[in-house]
Amino acid sequence: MEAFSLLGDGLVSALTPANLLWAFCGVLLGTAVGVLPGMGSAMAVALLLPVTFQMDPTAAFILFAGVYYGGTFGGATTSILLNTPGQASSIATTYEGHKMALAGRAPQALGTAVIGSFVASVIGTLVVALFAPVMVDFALKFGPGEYFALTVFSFVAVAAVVSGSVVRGIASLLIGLAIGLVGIDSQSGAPRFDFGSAVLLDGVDLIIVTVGLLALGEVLYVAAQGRHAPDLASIRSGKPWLKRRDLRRSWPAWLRGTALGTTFGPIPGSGAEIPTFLSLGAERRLAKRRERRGGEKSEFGKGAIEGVAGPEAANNGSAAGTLVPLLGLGLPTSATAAIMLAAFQQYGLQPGPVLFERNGDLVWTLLASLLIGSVLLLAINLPFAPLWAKLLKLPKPYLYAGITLFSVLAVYAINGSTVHLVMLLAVSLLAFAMRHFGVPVAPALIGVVLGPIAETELRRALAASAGDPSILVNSGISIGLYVMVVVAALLPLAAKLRRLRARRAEAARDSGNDGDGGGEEREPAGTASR
Amino acid sequence: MKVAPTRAALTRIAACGAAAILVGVAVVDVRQSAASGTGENEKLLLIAPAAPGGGWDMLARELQNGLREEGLRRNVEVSNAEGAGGTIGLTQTANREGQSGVLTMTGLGMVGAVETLGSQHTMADATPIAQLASEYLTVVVPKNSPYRTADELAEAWREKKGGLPVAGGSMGGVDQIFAAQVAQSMKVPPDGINYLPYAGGGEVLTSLLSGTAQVGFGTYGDFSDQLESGSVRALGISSPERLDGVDDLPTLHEQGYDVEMSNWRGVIAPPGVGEEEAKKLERVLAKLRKTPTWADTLKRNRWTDTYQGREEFTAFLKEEVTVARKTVKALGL
Repeated sequence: MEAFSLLGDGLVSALTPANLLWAFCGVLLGTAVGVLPGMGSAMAVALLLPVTFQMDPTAAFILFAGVYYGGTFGGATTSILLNTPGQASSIATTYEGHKMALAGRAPQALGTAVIGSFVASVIGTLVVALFAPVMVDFALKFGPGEYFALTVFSFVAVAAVVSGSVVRGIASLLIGLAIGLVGIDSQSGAPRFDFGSAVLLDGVDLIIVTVGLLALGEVLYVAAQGRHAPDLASIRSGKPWLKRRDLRRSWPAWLRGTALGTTFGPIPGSGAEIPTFLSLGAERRLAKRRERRGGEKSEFGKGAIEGVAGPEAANNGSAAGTLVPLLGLGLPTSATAAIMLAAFQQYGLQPGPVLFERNGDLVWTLLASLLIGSVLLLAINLPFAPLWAKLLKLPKPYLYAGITLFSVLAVYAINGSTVHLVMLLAVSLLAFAMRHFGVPVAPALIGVVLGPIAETELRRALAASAGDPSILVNSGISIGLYVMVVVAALLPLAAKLRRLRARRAEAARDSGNDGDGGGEEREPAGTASR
Repeated sequence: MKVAPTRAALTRIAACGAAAILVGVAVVDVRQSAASGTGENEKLLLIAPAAPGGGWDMLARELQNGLREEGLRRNVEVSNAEGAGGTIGLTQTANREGQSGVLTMTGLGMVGAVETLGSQHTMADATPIAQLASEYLTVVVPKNSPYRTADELAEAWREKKGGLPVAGGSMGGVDQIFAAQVAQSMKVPPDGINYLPYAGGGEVLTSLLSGTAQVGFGTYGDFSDQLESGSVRALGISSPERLDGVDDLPTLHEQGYDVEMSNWRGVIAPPGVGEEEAKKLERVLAKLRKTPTWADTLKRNRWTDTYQGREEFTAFLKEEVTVARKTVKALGL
């Protein structure tokens, strides 16, 4: 328990009025940057770095911590309200979050997101503080073979998001995978589908895809419906606070999301996307199982609070997890972490195996600042949730004009290039067509995010083994993940078979002995099929 | 009853006043930044052809900080134009033909990308101004690797060829050019090596530590922390002589492998800027180089001072383009 007293010392040295002010600025700035699509926390930290050259280390850490956690959370606001994720890690939040907003539960969605972020940040930071060395060992066991198994598992886990027609879902997934192929192939350097344009060499920016598919596509669709489009202003916003029932359903999701985030966050090279998708998939399955067992009905597809609570906790959990390789090995595994590493070195802090012994006081101060950052994140953002939700009360024309302006600006800000705007227009027309023909856009987003990761890792694994496919299954982690894939795929099938058999038996009994009421327990057909 | 309207009117007047002041300030501000000013108030735009946090972005921000700190230029703006190995930034520079007060960060990575990607603009479409700093490259292996010297690695590599996975930065980048040159000097055909490209030095290290790749190629700074802690071991460095502070690390050259290269960084201006402007930019950088702020920058980033003025840098750049072209060809990219 020495760690706790050290952390306490860190808290004491970090808790000064000036530092609290820095933390406040950091969280505010981070949230603002996270809300704007196309601006990540990496950008904000890079811009702040020169400013911190003149600050003392503690103040600088606190500022960074605030920006880091604030930025990770900020994306949730636009995801929920406007269906426009600010960054890849908030894509999973949009699925249920925006549906909650449409059902008039925007304040609850925002509330559970901010509390989830807080819970995950606090637990994640504590876990990092106490178990960093163990987690480093685990993270290093992830070679490309294990990583590929993880992406396969994620694909299966989020397949649940694809509801409705299987053919349309697969068509959408393929569209996403195709978009993900554009650009220089990282493994061979060969340009793919660039049509001779230098701008396409870097692929279609993820921001263009998310903004185009979700926000602008929706704007075009609403505009095409004209007066018949549903008016968001008529949505009753209801009570602005989380009810007991919301809390009861949120807290297990927060904890599961935190666990997924902090487990997979430290794996070098993995972003927050995989844990958020895994969390969304897990929550959906659990809600279904609860419904089958006669519990509350699953609200997935109509705005389930667990579908916001889980992924939001997962992305802040993985933001904390990213610090594990950074502090434990000196390995920056994300752009933000790379810039933070530069900042640490500036103060003579040398991340690596001996960090905790050599610069103990500074490290504990840093971890304490992260805790302070998460508390302020909650304090600043929770009161604003009902206020933000009022945004939806704007009359339709203004709201959609605002979304359009916001989206176009975000895309233009990536590189100041008009070619990106043309790409955005093309993607939004595609999204409009998809909506018109009833093709869901969610699988396309999953394809764009997970497709390139899966491809890179598979090819990297096979290159490392000189073409021997056994590298894919030569470790316990990979085998375990594949077993889970098979189980996850077979369970619904088995359940279906069991139901079918039960029904047949019943039918046989019914025909023999009419009217004994045995059919009452029968589940409505098709609840678990997709 | 009279109070409310009066208050409303007052509020309105106050709001109008505030708006007027804001607009006024904005107009003055715009005027100031539009007028290019002279001397230290002259506007300078630094184009970083990389994402925030990337190597060229760091250079641009260090320049911005240094120029401001030392009072050489107060009005310095950094603009990121990431993409396609820096060639997007090069194209943007070429399109600013004749514009003064623009400096674009460049380096070996851009030279390599121009060759591998067949970019529409080349280094000949810019005005070289100065080389600022360099980092040398090293060959590293994990601590439990059987290879202890460059010779042992050369022998094994010749035997295994594609069976030996090696890791480095992205395709066509500096690390791969380095790997190709090392392979060539070790008599391994460069197009037959099994090169695993990663997004950055951190990922290359992970790949080594997790046992995926057996040899890593990258700048010394990428590996310095791990070299110190002993989790990886360096087999050779690409500098002409042993470096200060790490004199136990032999150069590749002294071990009989003729590889001498550095990941240099410099700045270029748009084409057709004229002698006068080029001289002025060079002068500012020459001044900055002599300041304590810049000395601190070099130390903090572990960069070696390899400053070259305009004339020297132009000749050097030409040579680098020729070498890069040859290496890219040998790699079969």
